[in-house]
Amino acid sequence: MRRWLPLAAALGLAALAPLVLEQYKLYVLSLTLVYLILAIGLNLTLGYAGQISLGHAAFMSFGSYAVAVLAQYRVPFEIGLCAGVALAFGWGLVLGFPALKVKHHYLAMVTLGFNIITFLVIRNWESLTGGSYGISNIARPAWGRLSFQSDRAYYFYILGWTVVVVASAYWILSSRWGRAFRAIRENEMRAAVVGVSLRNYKLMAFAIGAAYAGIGGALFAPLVAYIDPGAFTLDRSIQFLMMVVMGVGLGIAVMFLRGKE
Amino acid sequence: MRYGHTVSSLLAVVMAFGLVGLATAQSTIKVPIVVEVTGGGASVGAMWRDAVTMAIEEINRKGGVLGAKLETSVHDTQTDPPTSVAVMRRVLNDKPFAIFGTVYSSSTVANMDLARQAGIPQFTGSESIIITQKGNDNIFLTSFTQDTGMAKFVRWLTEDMKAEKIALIWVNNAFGKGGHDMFVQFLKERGKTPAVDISTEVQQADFTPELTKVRASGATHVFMYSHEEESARFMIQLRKMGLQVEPVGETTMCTQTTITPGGAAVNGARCHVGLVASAPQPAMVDFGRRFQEKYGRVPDHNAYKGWIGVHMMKAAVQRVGAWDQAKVRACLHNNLFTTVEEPGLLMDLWVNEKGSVDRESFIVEVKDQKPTVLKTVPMLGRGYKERSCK
Amino acid sequence: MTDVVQLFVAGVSIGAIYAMAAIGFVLLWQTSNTINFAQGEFVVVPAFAMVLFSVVWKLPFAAAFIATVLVSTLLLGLLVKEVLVNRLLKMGVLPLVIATIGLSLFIRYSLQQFWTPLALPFPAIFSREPIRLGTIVLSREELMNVLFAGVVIGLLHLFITRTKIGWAMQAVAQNRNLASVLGIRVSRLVTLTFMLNAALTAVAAVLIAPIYLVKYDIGVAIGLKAFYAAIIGGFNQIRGALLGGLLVGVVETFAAAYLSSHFRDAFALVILIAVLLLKPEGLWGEREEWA
Repeated sequence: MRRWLPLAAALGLAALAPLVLEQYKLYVLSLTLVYLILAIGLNLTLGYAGQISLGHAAFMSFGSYAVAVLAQYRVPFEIGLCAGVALAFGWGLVLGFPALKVKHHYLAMVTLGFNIITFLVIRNWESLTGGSYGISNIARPAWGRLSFQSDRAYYFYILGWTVVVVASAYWILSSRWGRAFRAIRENEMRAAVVGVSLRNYKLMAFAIGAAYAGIGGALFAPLVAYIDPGAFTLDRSIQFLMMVVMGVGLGIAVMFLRGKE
Repeated sequence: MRYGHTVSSLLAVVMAFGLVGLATAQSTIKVPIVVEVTGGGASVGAMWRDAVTMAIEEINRKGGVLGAKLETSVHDTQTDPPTSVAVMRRVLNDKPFAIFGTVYSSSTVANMDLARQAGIPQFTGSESIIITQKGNDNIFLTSFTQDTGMAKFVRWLTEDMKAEKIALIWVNNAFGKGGHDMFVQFLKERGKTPAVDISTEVQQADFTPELTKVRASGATHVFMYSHEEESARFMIQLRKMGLQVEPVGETTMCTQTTITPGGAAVNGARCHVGLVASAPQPAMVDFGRRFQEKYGRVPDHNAYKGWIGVHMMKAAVQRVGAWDQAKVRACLHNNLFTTVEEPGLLMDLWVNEKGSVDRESFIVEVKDQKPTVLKTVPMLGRGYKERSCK
Repeated sequence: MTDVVQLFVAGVSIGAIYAMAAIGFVLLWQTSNTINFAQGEFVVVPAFAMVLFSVVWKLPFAAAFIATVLVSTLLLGLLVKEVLVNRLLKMGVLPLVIATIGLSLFIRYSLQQFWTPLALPFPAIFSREPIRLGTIVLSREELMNVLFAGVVIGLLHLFITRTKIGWAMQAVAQNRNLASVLGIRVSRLVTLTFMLNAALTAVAAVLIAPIYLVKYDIGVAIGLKAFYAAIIGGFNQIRGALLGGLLVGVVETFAAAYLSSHFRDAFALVILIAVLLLKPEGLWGEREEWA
C-alpha cells in the first residue's frame, strides 16, 4: 500500500493544479504530461528492453498528424487518436524487424534513418499534411456538448490519458512481458537460452513504445494547436532520448527553465 | 521502483513552478520581446532583440510615448514553436501592452492566436505568406509579406532586368515555400515560368547538382531564395564553376549576413531588398551608424524590422492619443504613416487590412562586399491616405 | 556528358572529405568500441580554431594549421579520452553513445552562445579559379581536396600496416584481451587512436570549411554523413570507410541532380538501411565477431 502513496499524492496534486495555476504554468504542465507519455514509451523500448531508438519523434508525428488531418474533416478526436496509434504501432512493428537483425549503433542508425525519411515524407506530401506550412487551429476533443476546448478542461483530458498510460505501462512491466524485456536487456543469449522468444518481445518493445508515442503525439497537436514538420525532426528524438536517460522530470524541468532569460 | 523517480521529479517540477511568483510593476508600459535567442534562429533573433532594445532605450531617453516610459524584457523561444507558445503565455500573464516577436514564421503562426485572444497587439519580423492568411487582425508585420515583396521583385526582374530565362532555387521550408509559390504565381501572371525549379534543404552545403542543372537549362538569371549561409555557399560555388548567369535575390542574398561569409563571391549579385543600411535615406544610414556604435556590428534587415516595429506602435499610439489597444489595432489597418509624424519609421509605410506593409524598397547590387543601392522602387499601391484614429 | 563528369568530380571531392571523417570514426570503433556521435563536432572545433589562428590572430597559414592540429589533438583526442571515455567505457556501449551525443550538443551550443551563431568566412587554401577542360569546368579546390585526402589516407594506411604502432592498433582492433596479454598497453594505444582521429578531423576541417563555411551547426550534417559512410562502406576496414565516403558523396550528388531534389537526404539513407538489413558488416567490410 505504501508504494502507492507517492503516486496518489502526485495524482492529487496534479488534479488540484488547475485551481491554482494560471494559463502559462498550466500549459507547461500539460506539455510536461505529454512529454511524460512520450518518455514512458521510449523508456519501455530503450530502458527496459534495451533497444536503442532514435526514431521516437516519427511515431509521435503519426499521432499528431492523424489527429490534425482528420480534425479538418471534423472527425472526432478519439478516432484520430486511434488512427494515429494504429499507424504508430504498425510502423513500430516494422521497425522492430531490423531490431532483430542488428544491434546498438546499427539499430540507432536504422531508427535515425526512419526518423529522417518520415520527416521528408511529411514535408513533401503537401496535399495531405500541408507540407512546410503546417496545420493550425487543431480542434480539441469534444464529447457531444462537453467540450475540452478550455485550457483547464484539456489539461484534465491529458491528465486522464496520462493516468491510463502510466497504469498500463506499470501493468505491462510487472507482467511477464516486463520480465522478458529486462531479460533481453541484460543478456540476449541468456534470455534466449531460458526460452524467452527474443523475436516477439523485441517487436513488441518497439511497437508498444511507438504506440505510446502515438498517444503523446495525438495529445500534443491540439495543445499547441499548430504543427509543422519541423516539430518532428531528429533533434526532437534526441531530446526524448536525453529525457529518458536523465530522468523524465529533470529533463523536462531543464528544458523549460532554459526558456527564462 | 523506477517510477518513484519519475513521480518525485514531476512533483519537484510542479512545486518549482508554483513557487515562482511573478512580481509586476504597474507604473510603466510593458512591451516584452519574444524572440529566438538560442536554437537555429539565434542570429536572426539577436538582431531583432538588439534593435528593439535600442529603440526603447532611445524613446525613453527622449521622454517616452505620451509621457509614459516603456519597459521591456527578453524571452527566449529557442526557435521551437511549442516553446514559443509557452513563452507567449507567460508573457501574456503580465498583461503587456504589445509584444515584439517572433521572427521565425513557424513560431509566429503557432503563438499569434494567443496574443489575439488576449487582445495584445503583436509586431512580428516574420515574412511568410501564411501569417496573413489566417485571418488574424492582431498581427502586424514589419516588412512585406511575400506577396508584396515578390510582386515588386517580379516586376523589377521582368520589366527592368528584362530577364528571359529564370532559374529558381529555393529552400524547402515555410519561408522558402511561401516565396516560391508567390514568385511562380506572379511570373505566371506575366506569362512566364521558371526555366528550372529546384528545392534545397536548410543547412545544405553542396549545390553542384543545382548549378549543373542551371547551366544545362541555359538560364540567363538564377534566383536563389534561401537563408543567409546557404546563399553564401551557393554564390561561392557558382563563381567556382564559372557559371555565366546573373544571380538575383530577394533580401537574403544581398544582406550583410550573407556577404560576410560569402566574401567576394557575392559581388555582382543584384537584389530587391526592403531594408538596407546603405539606403540613400539619411534616417536609414543614421540608424545603421548608431546601431554599429552600440553593438559593434552592421544591422541586417531583421534589426531594421525590429526598430521599425517599435516605432509603428509609437506612431499608432500617438495618433490614437491614448494607450488603447483596440483603437491602436484599428489604427494599424488600412492606414498610412509617414516619417513626418514619426521619424523613427525611417520610411513612409502603409499598413493594409491584413497587417502587412507596403513601402518603398530598393534594388541593390553587391559591390566591394557591400550592398550598394542602385535605385528606389516605389510602393506597390497608389493613393494611400492617412486616416485619423481618434 | 559534361554534366556527368562535373557531378562525378564534385561527388568524389565531397566524398573524400566524408571519408576522412568516417575513417577516424571507424578507427575509434575498432580500437575502443566508441561510437562517436560527436564526430561532426570534432570537425567543427578545429574549423573554429583555424579561424581563430589565421583570421583573428593572423598567423601564417602553416603555423595556424599546425596550431589547429595540436589544439584538436589535445582537446578532442587526449582530453576527451581521459575525461570521458575512460570512465564510461567500462559500462558498455550505450552509456558512451549517450555521452557522445551529449558532447556533440554541448560543443554545438557552446560555440553558438559563446562565439557566434553566424557563419564565418574561411580563407580558401587553394585557388578558386576554374580549370576548363573543354566544356567541363573543374575547380582547383575540388581536385586538391581529392588529392590531399588521398595523400593523408595513404599515409595513414602506411602507418597502420608498416609501423609497429600500427600493428599494435590492428592487434587491439582484432582482439583486445589477447593484445593486452601480449604486452600491448591497450589504454595508451586507445589514447593514441583518439589523438589520431582528432588530427584527421582537423585536416578534414581545413578542407571542408571553405565549402561549408564555419558555423556551429555544420557538424550535424558532416557527422551523419560520416556514419553513413562508415556503415555503408564497412565498419571494420579503413578502405571500407574510404569507399563508403566516396559512394555517399557521389550518390548524393547524382540523386539530387537526376532524381528528386525534395528527397535528396533520403537516398543515402535508403542505401544505408538496405546495407544494414542485407549486409550489416558493410559493402566492403567483414563480419564482426561476438566481441
